[in-house]
Amino acid sequence: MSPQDERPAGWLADRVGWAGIVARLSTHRAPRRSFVFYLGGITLFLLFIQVLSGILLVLYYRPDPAHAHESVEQIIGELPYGNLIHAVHAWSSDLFVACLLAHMFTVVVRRSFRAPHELSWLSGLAALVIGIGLAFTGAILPWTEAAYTHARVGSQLAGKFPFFGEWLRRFLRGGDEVTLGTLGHAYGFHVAGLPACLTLVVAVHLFLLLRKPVIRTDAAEQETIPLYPEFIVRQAAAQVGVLVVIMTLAIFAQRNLGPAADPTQPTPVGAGPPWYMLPVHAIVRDAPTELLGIDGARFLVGIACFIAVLVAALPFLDRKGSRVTAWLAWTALLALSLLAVHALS
Amino acid sequence: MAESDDPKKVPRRDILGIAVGGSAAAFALAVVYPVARFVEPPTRPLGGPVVVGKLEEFPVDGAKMVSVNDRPVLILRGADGELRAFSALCTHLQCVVAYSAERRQIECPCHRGVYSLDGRNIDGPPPRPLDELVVSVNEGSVIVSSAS
Amino acid sequence: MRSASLLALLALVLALVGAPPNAFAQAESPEANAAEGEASQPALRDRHLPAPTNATNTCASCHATLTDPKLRAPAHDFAKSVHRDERIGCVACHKGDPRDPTVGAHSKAAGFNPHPTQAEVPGICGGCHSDAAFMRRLNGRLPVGQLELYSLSLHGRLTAAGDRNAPTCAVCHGKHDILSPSSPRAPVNRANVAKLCGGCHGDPEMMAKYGLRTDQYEKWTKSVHGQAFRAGNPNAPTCTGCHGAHSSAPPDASSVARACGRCHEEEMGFFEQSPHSQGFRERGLAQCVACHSNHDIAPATALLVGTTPDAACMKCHSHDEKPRKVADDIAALLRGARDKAAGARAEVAGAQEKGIHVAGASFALDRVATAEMRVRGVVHTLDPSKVGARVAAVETAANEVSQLVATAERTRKEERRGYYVALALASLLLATLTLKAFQLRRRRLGEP
Repeated sequence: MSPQDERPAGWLADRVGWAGIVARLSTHRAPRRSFVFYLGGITLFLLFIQVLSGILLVLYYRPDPAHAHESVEQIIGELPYGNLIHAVHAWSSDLFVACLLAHMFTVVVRRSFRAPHELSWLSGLAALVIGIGLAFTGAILPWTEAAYTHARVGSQLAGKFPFFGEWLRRFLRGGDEVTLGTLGHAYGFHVAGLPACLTLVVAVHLFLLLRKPVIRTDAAEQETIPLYPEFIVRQAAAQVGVLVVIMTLAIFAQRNLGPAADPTQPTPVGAGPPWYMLPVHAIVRDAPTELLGIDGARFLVGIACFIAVLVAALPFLDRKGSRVTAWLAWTALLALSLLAVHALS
Repeated sequence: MAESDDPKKVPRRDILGIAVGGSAAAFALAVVYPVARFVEPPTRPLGGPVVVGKLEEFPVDGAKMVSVNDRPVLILRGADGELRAFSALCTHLQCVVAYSAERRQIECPCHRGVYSLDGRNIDGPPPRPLDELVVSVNEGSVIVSSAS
Repeated sequence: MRSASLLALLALVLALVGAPPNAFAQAESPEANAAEGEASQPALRDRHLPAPTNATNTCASCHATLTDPKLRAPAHDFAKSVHRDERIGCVACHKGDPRDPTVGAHSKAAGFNPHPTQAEVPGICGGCHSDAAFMRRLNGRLPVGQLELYSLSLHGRLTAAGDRNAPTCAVCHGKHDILSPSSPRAPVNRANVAKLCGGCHGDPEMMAKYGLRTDQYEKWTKSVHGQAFRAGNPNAPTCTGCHGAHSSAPPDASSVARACGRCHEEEMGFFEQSPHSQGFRERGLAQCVACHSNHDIAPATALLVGTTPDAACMKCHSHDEKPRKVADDIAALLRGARDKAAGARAEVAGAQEKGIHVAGASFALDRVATAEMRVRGVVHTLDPSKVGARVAAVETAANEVSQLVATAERTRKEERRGYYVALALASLLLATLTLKAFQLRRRRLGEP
């Protein structure tokens, strides 16, 4: 009935019921001018790149301490375009975590977490936690000096969490110390466990958002465009831009691997946590030894956890979406940035 | 998607759609190419035991120099056909040693170090025998791996 | 059946373990018993080989109990020394009557000599140690030429002339506490010899009498030989390695090359091909020493060759045109080899810095190092064409490395080119998508 039937794609479209999907998607609206609205899609796209480059790396990576570093060096040095794929995976991991955080930040500032989107918010938070978990476990896998330090320090930090800190530390390490068990655990989580969880959580997140799209009441965003085809075309363009950025970084910005991990050697000078851990690192490093009878670092991390619980409960605490939340979000960003800068000094 | 009655617009829409599809396909190819090259199994094995040739390529009662993980290795084949593999780096100052057929020994050209055919240092400055590697034959292929 | 043979075995083991040690000593030297019976033939070897009984070493049984340390110490030291064999005993050197448990053992009639003089010592030691038949029975491993070499040496001749400074056997080996040279505590052990020689030869007052320098030990310690020695290289020579132990013979000018050439065989061969060989011989110049020195041998670098003021060649040839040219040519060749090899290594390092992996680089660099090493010895031929041949081998090996690096860099360039292609395609896609977005926008706005 439509010109589609005559085109070759029409055959597939009829079997999939494309017309119905298109009609449904067209009823959704997206703001015409909102840079922020693209963030979610970009984050999802970055996840897709991570999965693809990760699958390619897994073909040649060997997850035991004797061969891990060697296999990564072989991927970079001897396989055609291996250095490209490794660099893409490394850079987009940083971008992925950054976009996750930025996406979450914009949601808080715009108070899009309010009812009926509480479950979207919670699933998004879960995605954030799993995403950071992926970044953490992934950084251990090359088993370089930095990776080994990262595993030790990171699990040490985890030990400062209240109540389940000790358990978490042993759980992350696969024992009391960082050993080949740690690498095996990190590999299993990074390659299988966490991606599976993340897929589920992201599916739930998208499903909920499609069922109950976020409708803005701000004047600035009254003007909307249909999700399909207009917004999707623009989103596609943005994603091609992101791909260009990653390609450029991968080709021109070296990420040196560093020497293989040697547990018998002391920690190298200048070893630091990944950038997203800097604020926590600052807190733990400069915490006073004791606060109210408890280990200072534990106390402060406990406070941070408490704040995190409050953040998770935002939809229930701030039902009306007051401006205070937005101000608090900006203040928090400032504080975290200052802590991060302090950690670097 | 509203249909337009203007016949003039129909060909243009199609062209742009084709343009988008075409450039997307081209770009996809540019992405798929390095992925395909990467996934293709490499010609050299990446570590572990290395195949250095077929058994026939190693002359009986002779020796052949091969590269194992980018290091020189001397494969000796005795009169009885048995293979032995030694690192070809002299234990004195790491010159590359060579097999001498006339004198039936391994010699270092730098300071006249001499090793017997079982790698023992028998003359000259070398302080230790040559490092021996593990060599085996599997279905006609000679495989060398580092001693464990 | 089995338990019976086990018991027999056990009995045998017990018998072997419980048997007195003397029984073996007795079994070992039937000749000694036989010889003892022939008292009419006091051959040299029998002079101090009494029948092995418990009464043999009465000297020690008395001296060990004395309170005066000067009299007690020899007995204690001797009991730990390499001579603590009852067939030797104190009488071997001091003679006297060992069978007398009283001070009558100090019998002048029996030849008792409590303090052998400096002149007597070599003869006393040599009495056994140069007796081949005797030494063969007691310790067939030991050589027997020491006394003869010593008496030909300057040390021996000075001793014979009565020079109080000259060392006898006892000075180096000790008197009563003589240990085998293989014992790490022996002063003549290879590890300790240099200090032993240096004890006298480093004393300016003592050496002034002979006009000898006293810096040899210090120089040797700093030399390549000294450093290699301290690093544990079993081939590195100490004093005895070149001078001998008992011959104490500094190689004379015409035989220095032979002494060095014992280890540095190839260099000696090259040297003898060169015009220096005959030239040095005619002038009586000390061969290797002339350029490399004897004790403070420095690492042989390319700096030795050339026409710079501190080059070895300029010690003699500073005004000779032809030798200067040869020196310049060889120096240039050596510089070329060194630069080529260093260049190859730098190329690989540079590629690795850029993250480019060069396949086959290590093997190729091993070959460069081998070729570079082989250039050193051939310099002694003083023949630029021969040196040039080996330098050419270095260049060939270095060129192989360059090719490998070039291949790797080409691969990297291909990747970069691929990037630009992908970038262009991405830009094209971006452009078409933007156009599409505008088209959709226009359509949207165009609608009423």
